[in-house]
Amino acid sequence: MDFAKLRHYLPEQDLMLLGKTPVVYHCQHFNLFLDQTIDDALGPTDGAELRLRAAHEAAYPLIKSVCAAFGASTPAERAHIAERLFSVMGHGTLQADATATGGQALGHHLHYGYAWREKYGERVRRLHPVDGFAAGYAAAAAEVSANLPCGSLVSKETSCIALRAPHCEFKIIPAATGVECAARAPVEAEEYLANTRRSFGGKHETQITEIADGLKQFTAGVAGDERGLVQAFGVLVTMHLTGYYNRISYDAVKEIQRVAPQSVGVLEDLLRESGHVCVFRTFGGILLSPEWEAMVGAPGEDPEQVVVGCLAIARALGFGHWTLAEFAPGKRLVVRTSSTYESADYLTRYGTATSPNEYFFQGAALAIMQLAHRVSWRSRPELTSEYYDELFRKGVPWTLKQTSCIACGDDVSEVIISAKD
Amino acid sequence: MGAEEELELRPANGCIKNLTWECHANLAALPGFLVSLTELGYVESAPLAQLRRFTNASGDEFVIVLTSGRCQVRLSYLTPGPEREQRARAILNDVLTHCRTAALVS
Repeated sequence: MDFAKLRHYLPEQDLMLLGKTPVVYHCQHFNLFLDQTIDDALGPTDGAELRLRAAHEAAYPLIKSVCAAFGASTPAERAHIAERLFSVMGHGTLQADATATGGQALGHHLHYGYAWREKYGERVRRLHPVDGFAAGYAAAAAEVSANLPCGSLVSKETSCIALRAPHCEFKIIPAATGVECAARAPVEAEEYLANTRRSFGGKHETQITEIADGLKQFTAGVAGDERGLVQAFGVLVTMHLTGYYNRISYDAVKEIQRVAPQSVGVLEDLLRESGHVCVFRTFGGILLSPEWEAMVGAPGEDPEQVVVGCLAIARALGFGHWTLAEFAPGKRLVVRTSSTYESADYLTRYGTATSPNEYFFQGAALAIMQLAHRVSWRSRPELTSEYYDELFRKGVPWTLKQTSCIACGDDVSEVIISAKD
Repeated sequence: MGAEEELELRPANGCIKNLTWECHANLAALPGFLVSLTELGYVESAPLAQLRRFTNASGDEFVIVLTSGRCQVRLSYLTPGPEREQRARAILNDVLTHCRTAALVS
């Protein structure tokens, strides 16, 4: 099974798909931060429930379409493909043994649990299981294997390595009411394409395109190791479902708007911060890697070249056709795009937004400006949590404004980063 | 003179503590350096531009950027935490010694 052949990008939009399903690459720092943000906003019970439903809903059409692409015709074949797919995408090893009447799944080296234990295990005592994504995926995999509609089964993590268990276990049972997923048609390639705008270039377009193409070629061969984990660029990388990220983010915002509108700004700030986390850890890890040095050259002290590199990385990771509209060192950065993985999903799921809401795009643009000016790349710093705090938690010397947004019906999405007066 | 006395091996940016180490060593300039690594049991992965990657039977990787001499030792995740630095130094020492010896012989 050559899963790499299923990966492709929407031409000129730099949005990535696996078969028909929109996907992007994100690291464990982003994944854990975003999940924690949702739990902080909604509480551990409702947050976990939303994450579980989002994972289930997003994973079902992916597994189904990949099984169809490989011509899997028996439950055993479909179960095998679902297991392999999970590992190839870097989420660990998940073996489900379930039928229409339920069953269980066993997880080893699950991306979320393993990464949480590595990052926080010695310092934080966690009270709730962390692998909502694997739980939802396990239910979806069992459904596809048994040829059931989405929502027929539910899954719950009963044992988790983040809670110091030796491995992760999931119980899968028939759903009481079902059909929750079936009510929402998947956002796939057609919807993705329909919600992009006419593509355009920017400054250094040729260079950005060349670097992005090289990175896309390099990442095409990246897949999970024997653990089902992808360890690259100093992070644990996953190929992940945009449907998952977008549902947990936007459903959480909608819920907070309903029950605690005074707190929406705080949640939006945290969703923006997820962009900082991603750019600092993943973009930074790529820029510091020998692979980058060999393909592009070691990053120097020219901030514009760091920005150019970051925009190429964003495209290769499947975030959209991010272009450099303006750059004045130390003063101003304008990033413009005809596509983001956020707006494509938002417009399909929620309709036109009333205010700019591409939070990840916003936060990432600000973090690119910060990385371009505040990191001494020649000294090859370690991208530690302490360094992150120094760069981002003590306040940044930039202001951020999203001036147009595809999700609002605009022709482009644009973020302007300016030096504070 | 051992490699560890001559080269500054330092932890590289990495996700798991002390699994990735790096230094500068202009190995690519040594004649027969590729053959030397093969003799040590390393298998080369597909090269990437000016980057060469080699893996040994334990799953450790040795990576070198030909243009700059930047080297990375990426240890197998199975390497126990307390042994990681020592293991990285041993790998680097082996590679360097073997490559230099091979260069002298040739």
